[in-house]
Amino acid sequence: MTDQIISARRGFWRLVQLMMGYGHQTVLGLAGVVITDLVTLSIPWLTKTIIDRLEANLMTPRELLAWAALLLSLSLVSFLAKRLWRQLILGTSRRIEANLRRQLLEKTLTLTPQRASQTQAGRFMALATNDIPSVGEALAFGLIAFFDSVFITVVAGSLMFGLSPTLTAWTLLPFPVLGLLMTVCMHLIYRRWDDVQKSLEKLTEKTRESLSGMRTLRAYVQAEGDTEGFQEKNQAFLETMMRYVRVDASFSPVLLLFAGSSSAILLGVGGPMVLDQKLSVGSLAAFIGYLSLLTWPMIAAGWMLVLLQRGSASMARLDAILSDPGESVEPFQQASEAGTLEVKKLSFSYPTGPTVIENWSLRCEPGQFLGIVGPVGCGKTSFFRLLLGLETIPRGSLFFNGEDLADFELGRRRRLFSIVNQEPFLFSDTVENNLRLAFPDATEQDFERAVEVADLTEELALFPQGLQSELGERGISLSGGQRQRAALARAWLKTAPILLLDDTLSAVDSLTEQRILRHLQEARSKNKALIVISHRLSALRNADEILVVREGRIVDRGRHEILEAKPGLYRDLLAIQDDDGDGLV
Amino acid sequence: MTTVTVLSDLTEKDVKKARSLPSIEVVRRLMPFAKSSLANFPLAFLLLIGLAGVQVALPQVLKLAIDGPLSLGSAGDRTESLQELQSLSWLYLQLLVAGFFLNYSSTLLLQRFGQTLVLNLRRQLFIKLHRLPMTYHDSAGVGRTVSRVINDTEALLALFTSVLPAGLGDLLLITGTLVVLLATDPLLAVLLFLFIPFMVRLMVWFRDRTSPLYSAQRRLVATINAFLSETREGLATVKCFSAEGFLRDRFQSVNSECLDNELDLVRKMAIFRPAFSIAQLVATAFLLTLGGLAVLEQRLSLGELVASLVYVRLLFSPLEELAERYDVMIRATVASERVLTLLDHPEEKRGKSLVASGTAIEFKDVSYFYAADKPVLKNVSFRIDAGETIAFVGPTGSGKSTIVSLLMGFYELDEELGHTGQMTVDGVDFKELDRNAWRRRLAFVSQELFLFRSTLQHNVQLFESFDSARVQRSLADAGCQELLHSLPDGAQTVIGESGHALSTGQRQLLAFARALAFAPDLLILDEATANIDSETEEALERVLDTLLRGRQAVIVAHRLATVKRADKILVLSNGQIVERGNHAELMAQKGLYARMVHKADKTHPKS
Repeated sequence: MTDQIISARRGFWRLVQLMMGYGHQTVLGLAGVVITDLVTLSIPWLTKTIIDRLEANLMTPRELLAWAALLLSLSLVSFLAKRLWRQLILGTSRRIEANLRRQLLEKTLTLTPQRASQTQAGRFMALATNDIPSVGEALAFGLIAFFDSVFITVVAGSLMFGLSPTLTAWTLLPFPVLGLLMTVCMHLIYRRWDDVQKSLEKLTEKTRESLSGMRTLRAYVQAEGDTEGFQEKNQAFLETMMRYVRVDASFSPVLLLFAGSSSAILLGVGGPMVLDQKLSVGSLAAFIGYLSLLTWPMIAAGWMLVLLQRGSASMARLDAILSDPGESVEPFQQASEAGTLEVKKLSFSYPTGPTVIENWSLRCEPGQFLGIVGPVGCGKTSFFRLLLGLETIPRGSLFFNGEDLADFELGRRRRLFSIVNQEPFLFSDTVENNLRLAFPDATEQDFERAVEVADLTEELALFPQGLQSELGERGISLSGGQRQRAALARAWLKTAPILLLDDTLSAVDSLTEQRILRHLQEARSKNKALIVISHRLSALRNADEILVVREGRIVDRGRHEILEAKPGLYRDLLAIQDDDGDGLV
Repeated sequence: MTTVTVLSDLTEKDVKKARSLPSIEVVRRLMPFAKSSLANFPLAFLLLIGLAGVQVALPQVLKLAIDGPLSLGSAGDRTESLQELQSLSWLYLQLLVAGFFLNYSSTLLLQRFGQTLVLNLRRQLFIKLHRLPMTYHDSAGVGRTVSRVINDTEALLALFTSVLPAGLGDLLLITGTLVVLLATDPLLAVLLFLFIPFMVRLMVWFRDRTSPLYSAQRRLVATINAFLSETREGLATVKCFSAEGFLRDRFQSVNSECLDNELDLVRKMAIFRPAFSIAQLVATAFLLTLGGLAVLEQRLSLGELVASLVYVRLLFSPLEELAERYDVMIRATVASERVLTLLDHPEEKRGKSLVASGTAIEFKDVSYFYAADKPVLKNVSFRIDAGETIAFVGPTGSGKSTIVSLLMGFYELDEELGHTGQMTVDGVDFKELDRNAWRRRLAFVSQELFLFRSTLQHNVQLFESFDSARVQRSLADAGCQELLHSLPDGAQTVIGESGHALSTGQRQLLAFARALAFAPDLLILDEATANIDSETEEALERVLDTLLRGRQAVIVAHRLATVKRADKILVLSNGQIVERGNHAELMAQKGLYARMVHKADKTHPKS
């Protein structure tokens, strides 16, 4: 709890710092606020003068017109000043928000995958959707509200005091109470609003769960029980909501009541003063005006506190990510080296799990084709993650041209490999941008070649806008096989010395897979290596060496012909796979 | 405070649709959902009328004071004036308190009304979800349907809690002010009211200029958020390709576009908002000048002038919210329409016929498809007699699971869509069958067990209240003792997402425990034994012994050992039954089945 307060306080200072970064705009914007306020504050004063002169029968139509002209020109001044501050202050806060978004993305890109997965996806989204806007709001409105309300209170208060100190004291009587009430009210509102959100989350989750389990629920005729379960949360939501509404609904009535009651005091106390000629009717009208101006700071006080509090807390949450050291990131560069990959007695286990890789040793020369087979969860995929430095292991087991991979700069290390995963990740962007990711300077010909190698040329021609077609939610959706081949085209564009295929073509039929692999080997320059994980043995028939892996250990190795000839896991696996490689039963 | 909910983007189409929609119709259909709170609505309206009255009356008290005891001309008795002042300020306070109660209670009444309406509407929608055909859910997707039930109902609430009442309140206030002003000084009233159409024009003008920016804003923010979350999700890919720089540049271009759009919006709003508030200043200037002249000519009293100044504020405050209300109304109407469409969607057919016992299931020439050009089942005919175990085997996509979905009533044969053939149970057409009574006699175990985020016990008995002995027995019979003992709180341990994680094998056995607990007449296993390691396999076969004993069963199977148990095996290929018979008969035929068994034998010589 204290930690939270401390970090929120630090968050507040960060907010101030952010605004200081735009010092000129802020100062000029605040000047705009002052001018706007001065005009607003002058209106009751002018009203007073006009009414007093009217009452004293001193006013002439000519003078009245002059007053009107003054009022109109003040309106113009106020318009310009208001425009100025809105543009400067709000503009600045938008710039800061955009800047934070950029920082968040840049930091995300440098996080290690482990660190990124520590922050839940939902929390991470909330940083962008809630926290950054709430920082912006705190900067734009929290700051203005603070400045504005202090200024108006002080100036309106002094002006009223100048008219009549006694009446000021009397009429301001309800205000401290009101301010306190509003602040308490605002806090309650936000707290209960959080409850409402939590309750709504539960209701949403329940609905989502029932929809996901709809087949089961129907099969077991559980609609009634399930509806009861839903209704319970539905009812709970109603009650939480009403608790919130009871406070929220009191906000503006309380405000009107208290602000209005000072007008009642004005009549009761100020009236007799007018009778005694201690106060003019105009001053009475001016008081009405000032009192109505003073209600705003009362609302603003509570509002501002909440905005600043939330903004500071959000800033603290953002900083938790932004201050992560991250990995070093080097600019993209195509690899220029080729060489031998050597694995010596590699063992690996995840921090909280069993050993995934036990004592692997292998050698992969330039131009070689290495195959890995084995059941699900035997450590194949972890091996690729280790090579790419997505997981860290101590030095001494992975070497490239005799040099320990642990000594490589991350960028140089990753330059060595290009990879296609079984379930490749594609961005909701155009096909071209998804490919370009691997080689930003790729030319038209490069794309053509990559698409051809991945056997996608014909299908791509059928897409509405070819390479420019959008993938994902708003665009075309690719089949599993198309995704895998698109990812293959992407990996092709990166000219790494070693290409890693992790069950890459599981979603295309085996004949196509073999054809693609053949093309791939032919198309690659002779000194580049290929390591393929596949559950289809047919894909590995031409491999220079096949490693058979079970429960993290290499249980057998050799060429297809050799492995086929002896009893063991390889032959068992071979037996289940019919001619086209797909299990039937 | 405004309600923050995720609302989908408002498009021009939505606006047009909402404009063409008969709002009265929407209101008429939704109102009854408020049920017990229905009376709150007219009651709140009465209170709102009272509130408007109070708001219009307050400045009148000021006027009475200024023109009465406070006017220089009156110069009456001081005590009398004091008394009058006192009673006027007392009246003022009373009016305020009355206003407070009217305001607060009308809001509460309306909220209670609206929330009850949403409560009942959501319940009705939820019931509807259970009645919609499975094909609806398959195509609509979970996310979209959730937002129908949760977000759209939230959005339409605004129609009843803010749009309608505030509209009425504003209307009353404006009318009241107009009447009072007309009574005091018609010329002044007319001049002030000339501002209204001007303000409305101004608002529409700005709305037309800013709304494309607002929708661009929503689109860009959504893109940015998707970009961020995808980056996190695909971080490993990004790193493998050293694509950090590429993504940073791509992001920066969207981000700057977003910023430019935001700044444009800020610039436009920096004209609109101040323009709106100086309009009020200008109106005040007019009032003071013209009113002042009228006072000079003795056509207007000073009190009336002061009161008019207050009325200007009363007049402008509803206008300021007009634009926002319009947006809220459009959203609410669009949401209402979506919700009503969902409520009107045709439901899963529910026949009335009950089947007593001795269930003979028959498929006669059934042809079924999802898309007309890709038949899934072609003239499939078979019969399952009471007590019989029948197995379907065949490659992926041969139509096995579709048969199961038809049997479960998840999919229906629809002649209008061109499906042909007939399904009967004991000679009764499946369409006439009471769907729920039918399902109560089955237990369904699928490849993927769906776990509810709840206790183990709940996951076995679902919403039934079986006694714990029955649950324990089912768990034991399904070979789940080991699991049960490993859980910290036994059957009361929370499992599933964010609860205690179960292995695939454990999940599968749990699915069998569920089926056992429901003691079905007919068991349907849809690839239920696919995801099992060799250790679980033995346990599973024992469980199947218990489960299948004396029961009618339909099995879609991967595993030879499971298939062999069947009295009849149907081999499917491309939606057609290509072979049928028991294990021995099919082996003798040396067809597809025999080939499959031969291969499997090579892998598992013992089975």
